[in-house]
Amino acid sequence: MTTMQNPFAAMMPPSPMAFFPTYEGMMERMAAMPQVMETMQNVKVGSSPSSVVYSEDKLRVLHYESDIEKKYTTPLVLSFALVNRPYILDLLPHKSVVQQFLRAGFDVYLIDWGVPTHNDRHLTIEHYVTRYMRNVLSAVADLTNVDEVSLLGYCMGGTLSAMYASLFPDTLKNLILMAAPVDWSDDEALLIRWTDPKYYDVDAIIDAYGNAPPHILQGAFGMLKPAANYFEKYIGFYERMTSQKFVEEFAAMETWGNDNIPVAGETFRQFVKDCFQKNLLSQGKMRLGRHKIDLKNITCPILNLMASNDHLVTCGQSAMFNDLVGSTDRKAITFKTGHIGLSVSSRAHKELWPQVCDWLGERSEEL
Amino acid sequence: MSAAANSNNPAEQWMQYWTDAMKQAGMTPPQMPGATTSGEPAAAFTDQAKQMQRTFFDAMARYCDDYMRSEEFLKQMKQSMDASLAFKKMMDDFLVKAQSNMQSPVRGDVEDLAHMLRGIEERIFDRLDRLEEKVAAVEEQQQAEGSSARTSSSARSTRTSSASRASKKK
Repeated sequence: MTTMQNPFAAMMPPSPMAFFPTYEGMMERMAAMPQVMETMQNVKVGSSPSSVVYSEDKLRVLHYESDIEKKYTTPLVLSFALVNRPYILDLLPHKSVVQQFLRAGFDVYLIDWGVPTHNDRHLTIEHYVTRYMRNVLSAVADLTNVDEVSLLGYCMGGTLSAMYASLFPDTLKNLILMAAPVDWSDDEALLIRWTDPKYYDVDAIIDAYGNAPPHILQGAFGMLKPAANYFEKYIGFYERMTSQKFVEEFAAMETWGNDNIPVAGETFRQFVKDCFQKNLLSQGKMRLGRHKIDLKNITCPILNLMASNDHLVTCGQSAMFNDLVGSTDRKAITFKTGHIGLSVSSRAHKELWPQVCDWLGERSEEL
Repeated sequence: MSAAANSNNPAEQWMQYWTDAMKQAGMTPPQMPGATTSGEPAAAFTDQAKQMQRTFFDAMARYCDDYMRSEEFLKQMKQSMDASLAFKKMMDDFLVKAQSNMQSPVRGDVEDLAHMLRGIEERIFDRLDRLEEKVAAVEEQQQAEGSSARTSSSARSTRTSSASRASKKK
């Protein structure tokens, strides 16, 4: 008599008891629910102590306070994108780029661009670069009694920093770019494909809304990785929700991810048209009012940080920057993480940021 | 009894009750006939399930990525965007008309005012920028003249002192 083997036996649990650990796990998760909800509600982001040292219109400049002795006189100004909030650079005490620099002995300032309202929709990139950034850097230089400051720009904030550096090179000691796009010719990047003028009418959007609405921006960013952002993330959360540390980090990231802000209409229109659609910056054809942006004018030391798994700004969009500048002291680091992972991943904080602090320390004026 | 259970705060009491109840339920699963208590087969099953899940999501991610790069997706995106913008415009027009009929100021009136103020501000900033450039140019010129005057005067004094030294030598 022959016995027939079940072809799916390998996939089947050997006995119904096999499900019970899952059952136990489910009960553990249910038990953790109140704690999870409390953590989600009370998570504190961007909590490093700071004071506002400069403000203009909606913009504020935060100066971070620290008990750690300063080692360098050259201050460091952090500039985040106009999309989302800048506290991603100081998300949690153990995942804070700000804290990394403070621990290394730097004097750290952060630009909070504020939330543009309908009346700010006229603000262009020129306003942000030649007025706000210029005033901020000049104010920080005056406060710290130096002629040159170091500037770190993240994502779109990096692009703005590069534009600033080309227009006012004498005011910068060092320039660090983090996942900052300067070239939009790489059509592997989904955002570039989506903003193709044939399908994406930025004029119609800005004319209708005034500012670029946050729900459209958030939707677009989420759709870049739908499987990861709408399914895997929550499955991962369910699996690890009994870990208090994980829940805290998840809550902090969700808080930041959902804390979207609009982008000033004219800035968005100009960024999409001149950068995404015409790719003017890397060709040296971009103009901000009467100023022409020539990246060759940048002569200060450059550190270009890129994330190899970045789905928002591909490495190809940033890598070219080092070839476009006039600096002789330039370095690029490609780190294995994602766009946001550069600032919040544990590995980046362990391996990347100490390197960045060393690089900057070697090029800053010591006390 | 824990401190939370003794607390008068109903929220804390509820939380403690919930946590204890769920923990106990998780620790004492109902016994089924023929069930083994070994966790190993279950672990293997979980690994297999995870692998299947990973494969499924990888395939889904690839499919989504391909689809979102396709002409069809881009056309659909444009269509839905056009439709939502047209709807928004229709609503905005309706609200403007309604407010105008009620003789109340509409957003456009306030925006016109803001636009005018912004124009004034821009002109002032432009003037200031130009003035700043002019002042910088004048300062540079003055510095250049000052340094050349110093150079020529120091050159003169060098010539005089060397001439006097030469006459002394003689």
